[in-house]
Amino acid sequence: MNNKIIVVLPVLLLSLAVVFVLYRGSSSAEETSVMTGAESVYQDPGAAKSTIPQDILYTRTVKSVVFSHQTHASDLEYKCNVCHSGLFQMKAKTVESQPDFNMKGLAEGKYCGTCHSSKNNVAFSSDTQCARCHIGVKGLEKEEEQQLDQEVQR
Amino acid sequence: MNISSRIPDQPEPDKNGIIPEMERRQFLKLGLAITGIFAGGTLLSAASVVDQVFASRQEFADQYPYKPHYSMVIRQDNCIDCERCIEACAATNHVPEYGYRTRILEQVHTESANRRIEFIPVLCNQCNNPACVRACPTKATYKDQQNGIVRVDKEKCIGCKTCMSACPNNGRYYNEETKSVDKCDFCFETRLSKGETLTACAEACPAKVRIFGDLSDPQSEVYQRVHDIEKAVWVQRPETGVKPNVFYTKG
Repeated sequence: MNNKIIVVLPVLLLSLAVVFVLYRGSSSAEETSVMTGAESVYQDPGAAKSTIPQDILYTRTVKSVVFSHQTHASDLEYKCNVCHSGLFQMKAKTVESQPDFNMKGLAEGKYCGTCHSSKNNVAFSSDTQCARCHIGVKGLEKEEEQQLDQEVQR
Repeated sequence: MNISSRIPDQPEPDKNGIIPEMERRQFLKLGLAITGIFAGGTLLSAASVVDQVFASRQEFADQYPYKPHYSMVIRQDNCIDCERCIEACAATNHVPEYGYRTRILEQVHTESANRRIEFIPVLCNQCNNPACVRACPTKATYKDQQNGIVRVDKEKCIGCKTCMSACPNNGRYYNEETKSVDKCDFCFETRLSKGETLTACAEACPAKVRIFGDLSDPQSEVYQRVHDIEKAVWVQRPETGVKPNVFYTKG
């Protein structure tokens, strides 16, 4: 009887120890991944003014068109007032209610066409590279999922 | 070889029998002229596209086998995946949620210098040499003798799905309600037979990606585009030899 306990007890203790170590390992790994994930999207609250707003997903008149604040304000380093001094309102997607917010309007140099048109010729023209801005129904689903993930992390 | 008959620019084959570079190039050029422009295995010149259309050389000689010979040209680069075509198709042809008659594929080119995503609309190719028709054990799926559209007789279909595995383009789905296989028929039942000239998807497209028409009419836009030597025109999976009537181009 005693012999049995001598054999079983160390085995039991050893397995418990293994389980404990594994559990600690996995939870700490999870913590670090959450930390790094959060850092990449969520910037220091003290520096709120430099935070890059989320991508805008337009769904009118077609599904869907993406505007990336990351690309324009961060990568290309345009200041906010380049677009937000009369051209686009601060509230996202208000421009969707304009009847000429479409490809024809853009070709005439309005809205995105202020830069993206062959008329004004600042950036690539909106009558080329369709799927660079038009990310479609598939792109909309992907982006919305991504934005939801970011919200959850915040 | 007689020295006087030799072209001065081109060196004689050397003693080991190796063909010099210039001659090899000439030979390759000749090959291009015969087989058409070749890039990546799927691009074809106008001449070879026409060849893709027909089931045999004889049919080529006899002109287009159907009248009207319904066909679609897809301007691939203009597709923005708004999926209005899919919505219009589903509403017109009563396609259930789980099924499809047309879909949009997505291809991501990570190495691209500008746009990275390309959307590719796909539908039944209404092949001239359809693998599905040959596979069907009850002759439920057949090639319409008038217009070349590949159709399904719901009454004859036993739902064995052999046609679904035979189709190289995955253009068919099994409809649980009708207990038969359903597919794109260029809207023949719902629109063309009632006097409409366009399919629902072609009409709904805001970017004029889907151009539909009669390939046997030299005045039609599909004919003009398929026979345009200036532009690359290709078909899905030409290696299967099914001779599709849905063509792809850009611009």
